[in-house]
Amino acid sequence: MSAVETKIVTRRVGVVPPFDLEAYRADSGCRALEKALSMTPAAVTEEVKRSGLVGRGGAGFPTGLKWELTAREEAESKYLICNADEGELGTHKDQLLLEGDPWRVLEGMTIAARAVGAGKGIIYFNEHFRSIAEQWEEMIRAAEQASLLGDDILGSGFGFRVKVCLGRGLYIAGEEMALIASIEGRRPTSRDKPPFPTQHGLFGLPTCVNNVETLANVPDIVERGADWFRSIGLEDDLGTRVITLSGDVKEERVREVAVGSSTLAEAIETFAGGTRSGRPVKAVQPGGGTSAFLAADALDTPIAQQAIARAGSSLGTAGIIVYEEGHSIVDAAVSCMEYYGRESCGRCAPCRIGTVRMLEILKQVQAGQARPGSLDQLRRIGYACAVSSTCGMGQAFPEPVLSALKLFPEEFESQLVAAPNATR
Amino acid sequence: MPPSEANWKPYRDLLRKFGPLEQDDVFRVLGAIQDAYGCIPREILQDVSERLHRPLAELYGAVTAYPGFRLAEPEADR
Amino acid sequence: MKGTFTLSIDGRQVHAEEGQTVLEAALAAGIDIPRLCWDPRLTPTAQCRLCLVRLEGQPGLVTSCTEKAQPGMVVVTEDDEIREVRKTILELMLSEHRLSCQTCDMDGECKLQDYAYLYGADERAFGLREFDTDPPNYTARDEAIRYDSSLCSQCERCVRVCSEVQGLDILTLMGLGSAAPQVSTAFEMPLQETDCEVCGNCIGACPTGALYERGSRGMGQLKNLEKVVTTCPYCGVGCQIALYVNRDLGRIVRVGSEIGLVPNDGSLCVKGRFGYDFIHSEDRLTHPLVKRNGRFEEATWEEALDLVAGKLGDIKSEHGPDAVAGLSSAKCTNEENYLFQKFMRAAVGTNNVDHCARLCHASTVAGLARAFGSGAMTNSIEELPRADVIFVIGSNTTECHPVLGAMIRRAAQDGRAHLIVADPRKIELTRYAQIHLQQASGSDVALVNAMMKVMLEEDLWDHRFVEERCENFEAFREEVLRTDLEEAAHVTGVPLSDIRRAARLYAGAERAAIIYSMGITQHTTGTDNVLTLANLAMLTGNVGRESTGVNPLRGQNNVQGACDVGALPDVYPGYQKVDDPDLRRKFEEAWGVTLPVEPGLTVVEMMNAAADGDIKGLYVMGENPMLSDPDIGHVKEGLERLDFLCVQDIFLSETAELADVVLPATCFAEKDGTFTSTERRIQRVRRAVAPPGEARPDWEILCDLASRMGYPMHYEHPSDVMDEIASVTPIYGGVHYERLEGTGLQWPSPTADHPGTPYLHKGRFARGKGRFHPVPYRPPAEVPDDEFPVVLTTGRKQEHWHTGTMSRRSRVLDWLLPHGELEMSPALADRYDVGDGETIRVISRRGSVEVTARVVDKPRPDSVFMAFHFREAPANVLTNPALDPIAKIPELKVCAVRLEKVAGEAEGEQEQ
Ligand SMILES: Cc1cc2nc3c(=O)[nH]c(=O)nc-3n(C[C@H](O)[C@H](O)[C@H](O)COP(=O)(O)O)c2cc1C
Ligand code: SF4
Ligand code: SF4
Ligand code: SF4
Ligand code: FES
Repeated sequence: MSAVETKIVTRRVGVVPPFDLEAYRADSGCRALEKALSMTPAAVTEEVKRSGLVGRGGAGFPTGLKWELTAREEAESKYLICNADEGELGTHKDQLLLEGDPWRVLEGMTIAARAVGAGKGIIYFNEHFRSIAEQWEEMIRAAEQASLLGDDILGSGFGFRVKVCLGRGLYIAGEEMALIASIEGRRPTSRDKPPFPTQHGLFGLPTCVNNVETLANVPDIVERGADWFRSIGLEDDLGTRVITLSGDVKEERVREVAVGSSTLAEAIETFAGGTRSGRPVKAVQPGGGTSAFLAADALDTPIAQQAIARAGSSLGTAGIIVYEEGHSIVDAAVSCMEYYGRESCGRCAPCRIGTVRMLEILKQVQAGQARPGSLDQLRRIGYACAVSSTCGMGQAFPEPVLSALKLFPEEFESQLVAAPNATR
Repeated sequence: MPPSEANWKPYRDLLRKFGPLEQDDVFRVLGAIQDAYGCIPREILQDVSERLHRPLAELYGAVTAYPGFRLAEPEADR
Repeated sequence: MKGTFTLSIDGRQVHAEEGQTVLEAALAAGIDIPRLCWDPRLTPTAQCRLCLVRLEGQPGLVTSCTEKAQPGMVVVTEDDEIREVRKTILELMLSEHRLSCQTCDMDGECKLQDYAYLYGADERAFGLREFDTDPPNYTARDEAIRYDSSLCSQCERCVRVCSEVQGLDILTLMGLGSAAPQVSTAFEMPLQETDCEVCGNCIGACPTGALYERGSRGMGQLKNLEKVVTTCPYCGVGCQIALYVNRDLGRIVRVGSEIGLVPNDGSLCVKGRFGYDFIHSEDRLTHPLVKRNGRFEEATWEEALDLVAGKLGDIKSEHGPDAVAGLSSAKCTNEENYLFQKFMRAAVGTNNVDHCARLCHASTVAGLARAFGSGAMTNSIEELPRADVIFVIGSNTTECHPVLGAMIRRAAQDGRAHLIVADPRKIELTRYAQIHLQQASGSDVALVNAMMKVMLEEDLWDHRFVEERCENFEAFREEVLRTDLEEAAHVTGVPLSDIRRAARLYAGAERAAIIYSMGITQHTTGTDNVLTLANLAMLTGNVGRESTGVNPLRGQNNVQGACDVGALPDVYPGYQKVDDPDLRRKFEEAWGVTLPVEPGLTVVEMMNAAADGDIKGLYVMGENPMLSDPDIGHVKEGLERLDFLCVQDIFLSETAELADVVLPATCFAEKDGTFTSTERRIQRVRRAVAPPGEARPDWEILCDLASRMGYPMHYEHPSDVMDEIASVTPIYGGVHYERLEGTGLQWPSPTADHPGTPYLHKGRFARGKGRFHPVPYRPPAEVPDDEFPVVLTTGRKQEHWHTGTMSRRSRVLDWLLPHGELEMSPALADRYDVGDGETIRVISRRGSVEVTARVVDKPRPDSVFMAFHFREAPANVLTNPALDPIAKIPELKVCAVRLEKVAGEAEGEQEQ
């Protein structure tokens, strides 16, 4: 069977000119905002809650609940942050939306702000999105002129303003607590929760942090209603996911599919044209560079969080990275660690040091210089980091290495130097 | 870099663009300074610290944590 | 009251308080959990991840230092998995640590080492790395604090202490998070270029050897050092310090402080932490000295004591006992002060005993006794940061009482307390103040009267409190209402709007505390100033409750105690009047002698009497009037006219140089005893090292002398002296050494089962009703005129203390501030055309001094400031000995001077 697209958030991408308010409006843009402004904030939140939408930033937290928690706090002002720091290896979905249908994302932000009672908004871009960020600055000015942002949006009395931040080359700044610290001008480090940002976020104010794709889903849910949204995807995992196919594929692709509508293998075949060389797939990381490897026998797994988890990995950001036969799994693990190995925020001792040590050891393995004990060391470090670290970074980065060791132990073992002194 | 008048100008210009600085502008201002100068000059960071009532050490610690911020001017511009 | 509940930790039912973390609950129950980054004083940040525990019914592990304890929680602090994870984390830490336990001074108290051992972590598990030896960093040239990044665990305790305890935010981690970020200042500036106060609390917080005291390097590993907890010998805050003794060297090689002890909870200031090397100074007196033919010669104790006893005896029999006078010492213990005054009163037979409290807080004792019935700080240090409004007047708290100053700074920074600062100078605290009233020196009464007039006019006063608890209100009210607000604004130089704002802020507070110090007391109107502050507190009902009160901060470690135990000319121990016949009889009975009837002379009066030839013999114990007293020229004249001067001290001070006999005494680290801190807390002083040479504890010397003069005094140990003090001093009635372990005891504690008194005047004033005093404004004795157009105020610097005999012999303190300076505003500097660092001559009616100018925007444009610690530039050559009529305190805070620019380079020379 071949995979099929279900276009909701990507509906206008490549069809309606982006950054063009007229065109956006002409394509039914802003209607959801108008509707949301006519509803009570609680009703908007309720609708999103009922839709079952969960966050698309990786952690999969129920969006409506997050809004409710933020809305519940009493404070003189609150923040809504759009997390556009997309830095996960093999993930380009947010970028597509930010430049392909930016008005949708802004509309989603405004509705979210209305729902949680936030008067201030921040969108935090990955450093690589500099030119998109510049276009956003302009778009925000246009929105203010069109009364879509400002002190009195569309005459509703609701006020919301958005500021643009441009990241400075740190992947970890995408983690929500580090993101908040970054905006505050502190060292971008995470911290333990509670308190959650919804209670004590940016500058201590209640703060709702949402991913770009999450917010992009909001206008349609508000406009068409929760029931419509619930009709898409699986019963326990609703809507669509914007997947990124990369790695050893013929063509890198970003496509939107209904949750559970196709398997990994189908998506790879249909959208990316199969593997680059035509050789069979050896392994995939289904949820970006920090997700565990799945071996070829798991390719029939549908693209849905539960199923992927059962198979031993996680859907994360739905960045599907493909490795074909012949691709050394050691090399694959090394490139993951090279990417993440310098990204610890440095706060948790095990993550800060563990990333660096693991990368060192992996490189020794890759170079054929590692001793037999090295693999156990990797396992020990990985395990300790995963169970003892504060945030998703320290908990997840060992995944690829640990899973590779489990799935392809012989590839690592064959790289080891035989111990010259066998007694040690 | 000694703080000459010419050196302050880009900073003054960008401050004008920002208008009255708010606390949540701090990271944006740092970015704008980096973009204008190719680095974050010491005197200017000092000024940001005073304007926003933020400890200089804290801002310094933050700036040094990003690969995308520099403290000294890149070699080529010297 | 916070709710308490139980939870289970390692199978034990444990009590916890609401808000406590699992770690806190466990520690309170004596269950240890490893922890490196946790510090009870700081917000937990859970960086080391060693304190992981398992919660039953929850997947995964949580850090116990951040996890709140919940009723019914079931906690497992260790199992095989946790042990393995901890071991791995420790091995990872060790992989980034320069392994140098063999040569590290921290060996013995290093947390990393302890846990590595406990968990059997293999230091080479993840390989050994090379480290740059001593790469340059922000401490590279620091004489006090050093940082070695190769021993750093990145726990950030140092950074957080600097921010959360000290309120300074000097430190940060720098560099990429993953690249072993290092501790630094901004731009790696040397600490001296920052606002660093060199408190060294970063060192105190460091769990490894990464931050250390430069001077302690190589002076002994902690495992081999003996720790003696005692009381800081410097200011009146009374910090608990730990002296670390290297027994092999017989030296104190570092000073620390334990978290959890009052009042300082692990904090110290620069003097307390680094100012200890005077103890082992080469200059210490080691033998009695007798002056023969104008030169000192070493003598035996026998010779020296015989000589002193003989001379004093001769003067007594020839001119009567009142021709002898004694200066006791606020640096000595309570026991020694008690014995000194007993010696003067019982053995010599005169009430001529006083000490330098006269120069700092005599007006406090006089004023507060009149208004409230007790002349001491009403409340406790620990309560002050919890006030809603803190009114700091005439106290440069962060400079002079640094540990308390930092607490106030933190309270103000967090907005927990609103701060009003009234000070002629822009002292550091003004940065955090809601309102700074920059009144002209000596105009305090005008200022506070004006505030009170606003309160009366706007009905912002506490009618009920005034009615029920006070007396003489009407007379006071009439006087205050006579204040002309415009006139007051003019006299003080403070805008009326600010006076109004301050009045409203203070009066509007639920709990307002007044803190003051020498800026209030050292005036000819000192007693008036104190009475006015007492009026202010009573008017608003801010006495007799927690976090309120009138709180004089005592300058020296034991001024409070020296006063308490009667080193004053008019009172016996416990402020019992010498001219009360009943009390005199009581002491005559206790001491077995007939006692003199007339109150004796005060410090300045003694010097005058000496100059007039009425005092023939003077016995000085640990004081240095040649630097501390006003108008030094006159003091010198008096001392030189004496027939006999005996000085008992630890150094050959400026005063000792003039003596006939000098007796070598011991310093605080060489004897047992007690000090009473500014908050009336009686705390133990413990012997840590042997005295140098033949030096002897002051109390022993006094006993021997008394015995030689025919009045045998004998005690086995200072605790016996304290028992005697307790028996004759009601406020110390319950004091006994055993009760002083731990937190000490705050007087009054009249009986052995009385727990001490954190704040005074609860429900009832010590004198019954609080008494209002109508106080009209009077100008200072000397006001600027055409000839002497500038106001000179004097005071202290954080790095030094009193006359510098101790602090200036400390390597670190001397390095930080080697010489005296004259602070002047840029405007004034302009007028005299002097630049920063140039030499300037300061001339008053009494003398002149040359000193380096320091141009800073601190003093008012009409004033200059000078510290009095420096013998090369003795401020007290200039000051005015005019006295407060009641307290006899001289006006050290205000005198009129003229400035002259000095052309040459000459610096610090004096002429008189
Ligand atoms: C190491 C790390 C990096 C992350 N980076 C991003 C990111 O780039 N963009 C993003 O939306 N969420 C990122 N997250 C997830 C955020 O912490 C947060 O959960 C998310 O922004 C919440 O939005 P959502 O509820 O809409 O998914 C990251 C998390 C971790 C642990
Ligand atoms: S797990 Fe890593 S990235 Fe996350 S807070 Fe800890 S050190 Fe920082
Ligand atoms: S210097 Fe000490 S206190 Fe500071 S981060 Fe390093 S180990 Fe922690
Ligand atoms: S504040 Fe006072 S008592 Fe405390 S350490 Fe400093 S000098 Fe000693
Ligand atoms: S003590 Fe809890 S993480 Fe360090």
